[in-house]
Amino acid sequence: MLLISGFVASLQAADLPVRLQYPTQVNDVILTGVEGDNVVFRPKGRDRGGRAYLKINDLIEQRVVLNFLFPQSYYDAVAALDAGQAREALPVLQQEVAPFLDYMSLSVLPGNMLPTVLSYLEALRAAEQWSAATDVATRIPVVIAPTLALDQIRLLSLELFLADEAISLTRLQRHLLNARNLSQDRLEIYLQLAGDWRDAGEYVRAYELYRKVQIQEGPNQIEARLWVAYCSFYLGHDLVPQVFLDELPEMEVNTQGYSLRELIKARLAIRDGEVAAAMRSAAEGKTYANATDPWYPELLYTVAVLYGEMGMHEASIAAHREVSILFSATQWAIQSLKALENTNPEVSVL
Amino acid sequence: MRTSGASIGDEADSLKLTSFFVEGNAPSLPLCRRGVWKRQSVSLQEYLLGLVSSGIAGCIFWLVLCLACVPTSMLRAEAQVQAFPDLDLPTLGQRAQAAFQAHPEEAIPYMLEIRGRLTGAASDEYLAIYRENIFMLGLAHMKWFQASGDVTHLSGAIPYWDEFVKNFLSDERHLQAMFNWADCLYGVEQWDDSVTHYLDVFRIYSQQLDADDLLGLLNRLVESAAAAQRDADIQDTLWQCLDDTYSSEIRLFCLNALFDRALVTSELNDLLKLVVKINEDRGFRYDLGINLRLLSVGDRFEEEEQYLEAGLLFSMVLPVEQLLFVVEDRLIELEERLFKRQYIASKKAALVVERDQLGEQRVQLAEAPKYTANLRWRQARVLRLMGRTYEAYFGFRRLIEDYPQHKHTEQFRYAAILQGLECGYTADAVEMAETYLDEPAFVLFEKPIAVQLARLYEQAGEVEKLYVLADEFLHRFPFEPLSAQMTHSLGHAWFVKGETEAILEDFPIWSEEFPDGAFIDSVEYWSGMAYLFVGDFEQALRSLEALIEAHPGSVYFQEARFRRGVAYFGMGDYPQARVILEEWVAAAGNHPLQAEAHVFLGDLDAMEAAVEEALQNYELVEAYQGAQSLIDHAYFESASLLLANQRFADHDVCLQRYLERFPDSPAGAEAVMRMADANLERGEVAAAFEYYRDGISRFGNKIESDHVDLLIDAWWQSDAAIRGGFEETNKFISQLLADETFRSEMLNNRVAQIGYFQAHPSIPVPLQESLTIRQPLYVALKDVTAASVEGNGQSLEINDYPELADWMSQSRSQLDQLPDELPTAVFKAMRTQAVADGASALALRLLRVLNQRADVEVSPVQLGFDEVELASPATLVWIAGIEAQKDPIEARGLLLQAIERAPTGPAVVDALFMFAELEAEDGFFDSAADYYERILNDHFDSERAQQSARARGDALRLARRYDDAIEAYTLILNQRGWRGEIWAEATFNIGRCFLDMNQIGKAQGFFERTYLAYGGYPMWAGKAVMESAALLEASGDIESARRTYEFFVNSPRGAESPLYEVARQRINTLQTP
Repeated sequence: MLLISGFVASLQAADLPVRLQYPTQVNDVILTGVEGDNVVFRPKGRDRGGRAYLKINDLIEQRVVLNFLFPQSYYDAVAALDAGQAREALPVLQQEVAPFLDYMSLSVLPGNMLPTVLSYLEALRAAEQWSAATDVATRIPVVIAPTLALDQIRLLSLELFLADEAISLTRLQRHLLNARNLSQDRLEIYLQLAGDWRDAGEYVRAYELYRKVQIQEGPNQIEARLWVAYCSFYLGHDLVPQVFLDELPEMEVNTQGYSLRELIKARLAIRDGEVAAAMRSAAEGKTYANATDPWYPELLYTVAVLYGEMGMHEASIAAHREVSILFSATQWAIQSLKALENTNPEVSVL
Repeated sequence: MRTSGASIGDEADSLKLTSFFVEGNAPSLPLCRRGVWKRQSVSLQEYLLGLVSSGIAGCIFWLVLCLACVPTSMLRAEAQVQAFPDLDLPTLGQRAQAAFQAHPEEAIPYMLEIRGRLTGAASDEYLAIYRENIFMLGLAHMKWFQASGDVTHLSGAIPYWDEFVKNFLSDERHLQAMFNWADCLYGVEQWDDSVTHYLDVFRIYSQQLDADDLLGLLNRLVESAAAAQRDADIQDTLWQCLDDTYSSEIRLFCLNALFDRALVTSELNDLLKLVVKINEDRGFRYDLGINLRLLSVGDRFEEEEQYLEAGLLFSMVLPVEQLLFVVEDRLIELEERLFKRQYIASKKAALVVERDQLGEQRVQLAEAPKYTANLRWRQARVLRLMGRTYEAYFGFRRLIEDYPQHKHTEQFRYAAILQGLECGYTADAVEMAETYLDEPAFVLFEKPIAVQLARLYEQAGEVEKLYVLADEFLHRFPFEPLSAQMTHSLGHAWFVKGETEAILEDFPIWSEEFPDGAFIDSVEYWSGMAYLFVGDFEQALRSLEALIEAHPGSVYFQEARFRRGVAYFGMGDYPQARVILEEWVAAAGNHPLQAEAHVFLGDLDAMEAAVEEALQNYELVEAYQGAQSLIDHAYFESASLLLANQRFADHDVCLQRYLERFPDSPAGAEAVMRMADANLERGEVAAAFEYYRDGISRFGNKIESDHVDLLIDAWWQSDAAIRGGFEETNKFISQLLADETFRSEMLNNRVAQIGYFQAHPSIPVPLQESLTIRQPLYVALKDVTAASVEGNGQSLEINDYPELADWMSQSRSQLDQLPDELPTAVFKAMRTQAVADGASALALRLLRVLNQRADVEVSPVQLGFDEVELASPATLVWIAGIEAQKDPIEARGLLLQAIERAPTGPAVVDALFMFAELEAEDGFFDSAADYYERILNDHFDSERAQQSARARGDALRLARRYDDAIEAYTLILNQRGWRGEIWAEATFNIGRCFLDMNQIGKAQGFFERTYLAYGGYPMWAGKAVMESAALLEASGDIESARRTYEFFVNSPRGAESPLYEVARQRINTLQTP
């Protein structure tokens, strides 16, 4: 019976020698399990039945570091991994990491357990053993594990996508979606992953993650709501985009996300045939956006299209050119080039 | 200060090289260990100081050792002694070694001797020594140059590098030799060869060069290429070095070099390629230097009016704050990670390096020039120049918001206002302009902004605000030419709003205050216009002539001359008007008022029955592209003229042409209406109804076309009139022929005849008129009709009276031409079709008529916001009527909307009337009276005029404004055409007003006048009798009171009054002692 998150049930895990490093002392003990919110240890040597129950929160407060002792072969494997020899490193890493997978609830404590698991995960990714990597990743309790771990999961998600590993990817996405009460720094990684999905045109996955983020109050809530509305628009929802926009508080022009909101408003206005309103939103959004914002090329493209709609062809061409030159790697550049070709085949050479 | 190349005195390197030597490795000679691209700051000699490396010593040792190891016999046997015949090779080597470091020039002869002796040596040992000696010769010459600064010594090195490179390809120092060769060429300024050799080094060894050396190579390559004018040859190399695999320093150097080149050649494509590269690369994108460079290049493009390029570059530049933000963000993240130890141990060092680099960047950015405001201004300005209006507007706005205290904030604000206007964002522009003018410190653009704001107020009809603005402006800048514009805006706004009193009250005051003000001509002009409007044509003429005389250069000059003609026209001096207008038309060229002038000339012609001339003038209205209202006038007056002259075909052609030329004109329905009316008048009922149908289908869904509602109503009215006319005419003629008593009454009793025709209004008027005295039909019938008849008397035959037969046949014919179905069925079907077609405005119109004429029920719930949006003014009035049952305030809003939307349309009278009624119902009698007055002032010919006049009097009376009420009722009595019951009512009400003012005598007089003069209207006669008698009773004159009652009771129609019985009882009471 494995427990990924929470400290409710006890674990039937292997006994592992471990070093408890307090700020002023060091204790070498045997880790025998986790029961509820207690970590259970026994003294080194023969098991005489004696157990010490230490509360995890106490250990955190006492700034205890939990270090496991590894043989030299482990360090050799890590070196091999760093040298790009992932397959060679894998057997040793797997052997060392296997017992840790039952203690993932201790990820909250500083020490070398999680880095070891992450090294293993890194090796699996490098070796493209996707299913095994997903198995490991889904054992990491994202709620308590450091954000470094979550970042690895994010990278794994993207790799699974590129490798067309749909089943594993779905498992991993579900694992992320099942987490509750995520801290701010973790939500930021969720946002990052959602952004990756959005960039890849995977609006459903992005939508799910953004919705997850926007539920929790915090500095990312508005941004997440905006992206929910955005993805929802591209998923063809009729009402949802407006509902999420309506839920937003008043935004100042220099507020992060203001320009994104204007982009969505412009898109909705275009959908409804309200060109003037769309132009106002798009032009204002573009002005208050940073050129490095991910939605900037789309804003610029939208402005270009709207100039065309308003019969301002010179302005439209200039804006389309800007998109096609400055953001040539985006889908908006492709569309702008098409528009330019339709407007005047000679100008697209730029 | 040397900044390039390895340090000769670098002990560590020296030891290292020695150790290589000892171990038998060929010494590595990193001549250019640290590259530099600050080439302008490094002199040639400084640079070359670094060329000779510490490896030299090692080489010399190696050479000596080699020579020592070679068997003496062999050396002697193969020696070719020249300059130092006494010295063997090892000695030569030792001498060379001894001199090399301090006096390389002294070492060179020994080396040359060695070279000479070993030239052509075949053994490996000698060849190795020879190779080493060649290498050292190159180095010695370079060192000699280093010591002396004489460039010729570098030239001396070149053949040795040449020989070494060509002959010892497999030597491990081949790279160094190639490098030194290129460096020597560079040093002696053989630029062309230098480029070639550096390119060779790069091509063969770029992967083996460390970053510093490669940077140095690129640095010198770029300089050499520039000097040799071979920039084009190195472009590929530089582009290659933009790859991610090279260090950021190298990439930045190459990017800058390419940038320089693109700017020099003005190759736009090269520049744009670079721009794309910068945009793709985060390192470039966030580099301060690159951003500053983009800004400056963009500026150059802007100056050269290459706005697209300038815009591209400006749009790429990131504000310094953003650069700083990114750096700080990452720095915080890294520091947090390092502090929390959230990293894999092996990656810690890289994180620390990155953190330190970011720290340096932060310092650099904090000290960088603050260019963001400048950047944003340029961005907005270039966008405006490119015609990207909307982005430019928000660009300027952002400047205001981000830099409210900037020294150029006034300029930002003015630009934003103008740009906002260009975008049509009037409300924004007004807000910004008001904010600007509210700030006393802002003076730079105060005047133009005030004038703009005045125009905006004028457009929005904000006359009060405009007045305050203009008043203040004129008092501050009375002699400023812009004050004339300000006056113009105010005059125009007042005039459009019909507030001519304001013009005539305020403008003269300003003239008195500033008789030499720059706005006087404007005052004169608008005063003239105001006088024209109020009908004081003489005053108008005075103002206009004053303007013409005193301001011949005024912008109003031409227009004032034209308006003189209008003033004469208004005064009824048509010949003078014609003279002025014809003179003006001939001289005014293509003045915008030409069209209006031709309207007046057309009207003058029409008045003089000069039909053709009138038609020609009206045609010119369209030719001069007059306003639609003028064109409408010209067409419809032409049509009226043609109709009056019975040119029916031309009439229809004229109006058809109007419909073709102006298919979307709101007056299109009126044209259709006129054609229908003309056809109806000629008995062409079917054609008339076809026009109705065509007009309804063509214009019915256009909200602004108010005449469609008239067409719809006309259908119902015409249908009812024709059907009623058929019935009533037939019945009348039949009875006239069959019933001699009836016939006698119609022929002999004029009062009975009028009463009959009033009760049967559908009988055609010509038929009614044919029965008046001396008409042939009257005479014919009179001959066969006795004056007094008992019973039915003599019956006549229709065939004997062809005129009557014609009337019967005509009414039959008209009836037969009507649509088969009754209007209710027709309009229900039309509405069903309109709903199916999505013609919502038409469907709503039809619902109105069905509700009003066919009792189709409509509740207020059915009429919501959507319906209001779709409603024509007439429909809006109808909706207001329904809404009034539920919410009179909401209904008022709808009525005001209808009035605003079509202030001169046919529905406005109904809207005003209903509004007045609602006001009166709620006790706002003054306001009600005002609205009734508007109807009387502006729409006196409307059907509502009588009702309005009466209701206005009532409202004023209820407001206890008795004098005004008496005046209002008197207006009714002054209208000869309104003779009838309304006169009785008005006379009675005047009496009541006097009564309420306790002027009993006058009151009594009007009551008496009512019952004496209007006995035919028993209701009012009865009321007047009751009031009059009551006054008499009150005064104790009982007998007179009784006689008054008796007069009424005995009057012919007294019994029809509801007060008859009251009067009778009163008589009885008064008779009782």
